Amino acid sequence: MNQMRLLLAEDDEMLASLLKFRLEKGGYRVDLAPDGRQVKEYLKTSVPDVIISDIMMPYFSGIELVDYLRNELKSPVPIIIISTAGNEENVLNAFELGADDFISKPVSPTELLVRVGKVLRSKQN
Amino acid sequence: MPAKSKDLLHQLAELQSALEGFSFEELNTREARALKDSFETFRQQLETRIWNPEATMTSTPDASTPPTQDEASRLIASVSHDMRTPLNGIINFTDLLEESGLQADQTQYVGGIRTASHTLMEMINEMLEYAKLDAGFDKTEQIPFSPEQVLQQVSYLCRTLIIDGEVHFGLNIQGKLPPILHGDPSKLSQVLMNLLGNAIKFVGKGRIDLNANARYSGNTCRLLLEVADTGPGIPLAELPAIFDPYRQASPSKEIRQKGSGLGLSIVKKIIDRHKGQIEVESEVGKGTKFRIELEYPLPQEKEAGVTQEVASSKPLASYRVLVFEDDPLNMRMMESRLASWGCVVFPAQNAAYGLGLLQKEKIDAVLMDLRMPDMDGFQVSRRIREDSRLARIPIIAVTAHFTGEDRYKCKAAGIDEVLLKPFAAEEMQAILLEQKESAARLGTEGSAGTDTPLQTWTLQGVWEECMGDLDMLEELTRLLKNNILEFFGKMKLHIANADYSQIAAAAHKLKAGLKLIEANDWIEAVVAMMDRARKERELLAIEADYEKMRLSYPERERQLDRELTQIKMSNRP
Repeated sequence: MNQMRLLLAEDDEMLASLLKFRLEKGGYRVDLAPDGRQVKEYLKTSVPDVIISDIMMPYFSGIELVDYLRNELKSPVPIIIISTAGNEENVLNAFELGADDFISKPVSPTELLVRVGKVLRSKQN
Repeated sequence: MPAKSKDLLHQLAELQSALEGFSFEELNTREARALKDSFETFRQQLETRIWNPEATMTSTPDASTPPTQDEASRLIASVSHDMRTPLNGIINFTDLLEESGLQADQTQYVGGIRTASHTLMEMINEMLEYAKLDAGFDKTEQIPFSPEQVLQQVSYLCRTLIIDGEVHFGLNIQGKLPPILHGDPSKLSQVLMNLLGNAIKFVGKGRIDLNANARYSGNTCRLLLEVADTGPGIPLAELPAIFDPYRQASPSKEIRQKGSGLGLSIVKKIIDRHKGQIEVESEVGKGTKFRIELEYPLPQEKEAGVTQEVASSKPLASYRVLVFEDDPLNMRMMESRLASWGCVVFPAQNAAYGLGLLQKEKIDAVLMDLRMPDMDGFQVSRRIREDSRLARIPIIAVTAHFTGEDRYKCKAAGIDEVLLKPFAAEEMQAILLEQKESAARLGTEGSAGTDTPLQTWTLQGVWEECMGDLDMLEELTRLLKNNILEFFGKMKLHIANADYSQIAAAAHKLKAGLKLIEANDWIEAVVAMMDRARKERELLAIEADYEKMRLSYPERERQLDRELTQIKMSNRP
């Protein structure tokens, strides 16, 4: 079976490395993008199976990313938003625009793995 | 550049050769690489600065005019300051290497690197000190102080520095010292610590004595101080040049190795400023005696109430003091005294009100009545210390009854000083000034005090997420440290530019990493920074938090490194 590809957009290198490490252990291939601009570049050439994106990112926020993906690229790729506690309004916004799930900081890698699995399953059904 | 810089480069070359020897060993770990990297960065910076100093100066009016003595000193001061950061990195990595289970010969190499780095650090510190004196950055205070207290403090420090049981230290006060003199106590202790520090370095076995006496004439007093040791002594030929800052065609190898470079010229410089005298007498094999004479004006006859001269200089002007005192009469007395020195007084007649004020106002020092109705002073002090932002604020207890047990309780509650009632106005002023100065020293020198216990951070959570992968843990720790350093760099810039949105962004970015290591005190600080930045105000409070973080970081980093090493040791396959 083909390895699933994830795009992880997170500007905190430490958190990004930790999540990449755990997701790779979970059997995924993980590409990193440290800011919104690079996410956009990446999406020009590749389509990942799932996008995991921090809501606060330089240049291009997670919300803008959801909007761009759904309304401009018309892409159905599942998106999981990483948000800070106390940012519920933005999360609702993201859902309205078409985000599939969210996870709040501090991110538990185990929980993220479960959510990625869930999003992928529901897409296959 | 002066000869001192060349000497520095020489030290550096030694450090490098130690490092090269080390890298030929089998040990090909990340640590060795990191050490080499930080060393390389350091070397490059140093070279750029020495050979191309214009590049580091923000405003050079005309590059073709040679820098004046003053500019040169300023440059050295700022460069020395900048060099300490990467050098600290080298020292930290070296400590880490040493703890990582090395073979005997490797331990020896690492020891070599460490000694060389410490020597280098000492030289840089001395250069910084000297340049500051030279450029006149260093202001001399004129405040009332107790000479005996200075001698006692210096002796205490000296005793803690002597680890060898075969060296005996004695403080001998002959005659009667004046209770109060006017002058700069920190300069006096700096001079004494320099001389005593040298003595401690050179005396392997024997005695070190600090002798003090006073001679009065009219309204001045001359302090006669003597630092005598039974160390190896200084050869006669070298004595005349001993205070010379650039005696590079230098003396015996032994003296060079122990790095007593600028120490004595700093001493000489301070003494000259004070129009004092210093003499040295030494005999090889017998020991060395330094004799100092410093003249101070005696305080004027006490006038009723507040002394006039104290009020005239006002070194405590706009110092913000919070007073916990439930007795209205005592409160009024304190208020009028503090106000007469120009202090801004915040009266609190009960604990809750005072604690509230501490949250709202910027307070420089706290005067604490130990016996209050709703909560006693010990409890209040503990509450204050619980707030990480208030961990360093000076707390001075004011009490009429003080027992030996109270002394212990004060320490436990985080109280810095005790003022016994009834006290003279000068005593209170002297204590406040001392606290103000030591806070200023901490602020500029970056020598974070170690008495306030730091709230612990932990790598345990991160380690669990790493599922047993040590390399991953190491990598994550490295990234975390990078993030913190990047944060410091960015914040400095954004604060200077008062760029609130960037301040908020930088603070936010650090948060995730801090959560992973449960650095709750810093999380609190960055959240406060973000709040303030969003409201676009209280830049000073943001800067104060930033400074506190920066000062406490070297110690935190050592803690993290230690924990990382421990995890590595106990999880080696």
